[in-house]
Amino acid sequence: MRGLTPPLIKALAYGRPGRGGVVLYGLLLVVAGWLVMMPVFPKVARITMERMQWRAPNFPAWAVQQISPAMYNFSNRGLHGRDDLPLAGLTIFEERTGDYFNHFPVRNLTWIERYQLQPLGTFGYYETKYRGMRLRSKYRLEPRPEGGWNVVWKESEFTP
Amino acid sequence: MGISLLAWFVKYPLQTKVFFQNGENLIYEHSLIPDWLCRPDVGALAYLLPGMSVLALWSRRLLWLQMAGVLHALGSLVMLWHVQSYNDATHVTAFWTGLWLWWWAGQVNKRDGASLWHGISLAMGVLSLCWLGGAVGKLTSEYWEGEPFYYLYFMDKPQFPFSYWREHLSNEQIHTMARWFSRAVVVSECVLATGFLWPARLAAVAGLLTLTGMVIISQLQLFSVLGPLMGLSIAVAWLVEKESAATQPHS
Repeated sequence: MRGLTPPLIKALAYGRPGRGGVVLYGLLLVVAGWLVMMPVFPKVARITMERMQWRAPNFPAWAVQQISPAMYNFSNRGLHGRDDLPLAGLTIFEERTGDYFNHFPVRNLTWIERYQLQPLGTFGYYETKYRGMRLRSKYRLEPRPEGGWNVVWKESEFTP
Repeated sequence: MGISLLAWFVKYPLQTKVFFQNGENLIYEHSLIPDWLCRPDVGALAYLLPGMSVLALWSRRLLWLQMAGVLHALGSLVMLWHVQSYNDATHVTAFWTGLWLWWWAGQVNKRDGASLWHGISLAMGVLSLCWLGGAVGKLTSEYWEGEPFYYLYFMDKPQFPFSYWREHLSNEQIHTMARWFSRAVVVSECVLATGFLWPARLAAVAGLLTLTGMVIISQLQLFSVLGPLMGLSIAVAWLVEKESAATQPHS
């Protein structure tokens, strides 16, 4: 039966892990606790959905979440266009199929895809869905006169 | 650490190209990300630093090993914040692996049961956390019906076997395959998230087999993401063997 004992139980039987180990256990526990709350508490899910679309009150609030694993989280879609469409009453996601992203859909403004998207237009529309909730955001890639681009958030709409 | 470094080298040429590709296309200002995290040279430096840990492979000095862990963790953290790399899950797995390596390098010479088993336990905790992170975000009707995977893999991937299935199967059959593939992924991730409660050898083998399967299905695209976790799984198996070979202190 000894071989079936979880390593944590065995480790604790030998003694405490030392200060560094306690910190690492604590960090794992905090992040795991946050993740477990996500399907249960809509507020936690909303904050994580907003992380996917660069929405947070400030940079530290977004940055602290970045150590949390989020591979292929949520149903994410993104569309590009030349028209400045208001999010209220937006129907382009219902009219089309596909355009899925595994995670962080707004990355198409800043990652490799950006080079393919510019001819399609500089407005980006993004949708993240999770357990009946929906978050949509609109961004614009604004060209700078001296070259390069600014990524400018325009608006977001959350549907509980 | 060798596998983690190999994964890093696989991704490096692509990522460096992205950082410096066509200066006119760079992002200079962002609604959320600070200016210094939009600079391509900051991103390239953060990506380059973990590569220096290759020196640790040729040295038996623990300080080098600890430095390798520090460089992996800190470099990955900056990459997780940088505007051109924040979305890459490679840096999440490398960050946690780096933290573990940093801690473990300080324990290697202690040779006591507590250090060994806490090393195994923490490595399994990191592996479980990564599976958990993937699982909770997929506990939604869209993934249960297979919709995201239908487009992301079965419709969009140009390689075999997806290209073959698109040519030879009906859309309805592909939808059904995507649905069951997606359900298998969700269930597997949920089960493996409990790995920290399993016997260490079983968790290491099951994790390694699953990770290898994922790397093959993704046609190696996920190797840079999963490489650090494969390295951790191998470390768990190696430490368990080491413990088995040693005299049992509490027998």
